[in-house]
Amino acid sequence: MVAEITSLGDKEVVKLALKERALFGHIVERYQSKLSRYVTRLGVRDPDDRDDVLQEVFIKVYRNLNDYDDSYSFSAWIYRIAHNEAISWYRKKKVRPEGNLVADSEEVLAFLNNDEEDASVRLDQKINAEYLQRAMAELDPKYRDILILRYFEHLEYEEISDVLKLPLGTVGTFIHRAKKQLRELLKKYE
Amino acid sequence: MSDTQKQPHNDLKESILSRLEKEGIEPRSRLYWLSHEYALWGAWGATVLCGALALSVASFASLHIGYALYEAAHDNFLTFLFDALPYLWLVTFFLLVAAAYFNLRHTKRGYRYPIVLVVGSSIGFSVLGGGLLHWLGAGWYLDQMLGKAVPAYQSRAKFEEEMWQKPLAGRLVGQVVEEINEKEDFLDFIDADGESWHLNTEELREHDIKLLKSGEKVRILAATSSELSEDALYVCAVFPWILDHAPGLREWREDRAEFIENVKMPRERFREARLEREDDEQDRALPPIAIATENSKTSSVCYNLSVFKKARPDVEE
Repeated sequence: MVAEITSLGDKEVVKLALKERALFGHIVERYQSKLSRYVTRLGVRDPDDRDDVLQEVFIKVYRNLNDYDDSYSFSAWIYRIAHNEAISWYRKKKVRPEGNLVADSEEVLAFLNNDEEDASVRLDQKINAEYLQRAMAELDPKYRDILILRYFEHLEYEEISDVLKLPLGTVGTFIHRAKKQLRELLKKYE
Repeated sequence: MSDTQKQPHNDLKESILSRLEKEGIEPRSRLYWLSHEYALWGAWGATVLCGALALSVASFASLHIGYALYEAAHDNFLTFLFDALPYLWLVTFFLLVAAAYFNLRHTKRGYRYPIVLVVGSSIGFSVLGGGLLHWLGAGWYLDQMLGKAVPAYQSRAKFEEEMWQKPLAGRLVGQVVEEINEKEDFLDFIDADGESWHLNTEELREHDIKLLKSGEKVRILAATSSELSEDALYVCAVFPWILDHAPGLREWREDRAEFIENVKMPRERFREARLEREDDEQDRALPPIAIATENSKTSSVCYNLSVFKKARPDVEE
């Protein structure tokens, strides 16, 4: 049974979880690590806080399972709930702490440069992780969120549109602007 | 390895499943989410409908702001527009468009639509609905109903009446209640404030007199100086009161044509009126001002009416 469920897609597991509560555990298993990294990147760095946030995320996911529309990506839907929960968390704390990007800077820089045709926003490969993290912390929050989803979580534009509830065109525009702003911020570390 | 990766998955999974069971947490029903979605679409529809209503009143009020006679109460067209535009309804319309945008954006797929489409559809449907409602006369009806039901609300009719009920400026709204002396061209008139006036109609054209005598509510332009007439207002032009229904543009155009005719014709009109009087009653005395000025080129009281002078394209001093 467990092996069978493991081979199923998210949408099928959701349908099963709606019938049998215990099967919701498979969704928790699938997304726990991803969402844990994501909320950490968003700024929930303390492990206890992170566990609390994650627990609230999964409770909300379960409570809202009937709201999930299977014509959308489940991953984007669950990221959206995690995103909102992280925002609620640091609203409660009244501060948005610097995120922990937990990523290899060269890999991220390669991604950042990969889909960028405009040379004015290409980033220097020599930038190290620490500088990148500092620059990301200084970025406008809306740009930081979008870069995290695109280059750290590797979501597609359409999924980012679903997570941040932005029109697809706006996602593209924001990513371009975010990279431009990031380049400006990184200049001081070159 | 990060802290997260070290954390055993089962701990979180078990604690969540046990909490779901302990607290009896169940997924909210599909009906709940559907009603939530329908509520947003319903709210969008309601705001678009209200926007359409607001626009129908705004368009009624904008198209029927009495521009035909703007010189009668204002220095120029700009000051008239500034005074008469229906700001309340225009602001209400834009607030409702913003609310419609908010509602549509918060539907399940609302964020996927481009902003131009969201704003455009909210404005577009409101404009279409507003046009239809305007055509059906809903703008006039709502404006009139609110005017009657809400004392603080200034309906177009109230605005027009306040603008025209200015005796010191030579404007009156009201109706003739009695003919005092047919031979001497005097009529008894009750204005919107309930004041009684004697009207001297000797410079009026025949159809203006007919309109006045019909007993219908009318707007009049009159010379008010006590030097001109000690006991009567000298009526220079009469316009029907057209805001007891939703007037069409044709009526405003007729209003304008009447006004222009009055502006251009007073001297000739006066001569005609005087000649008629001389034919009919050779020995009848002319009114004091007419005697004083009959030989001058400005021998008509109405010819010198400041409103007419202002509106006359070729002002003769």
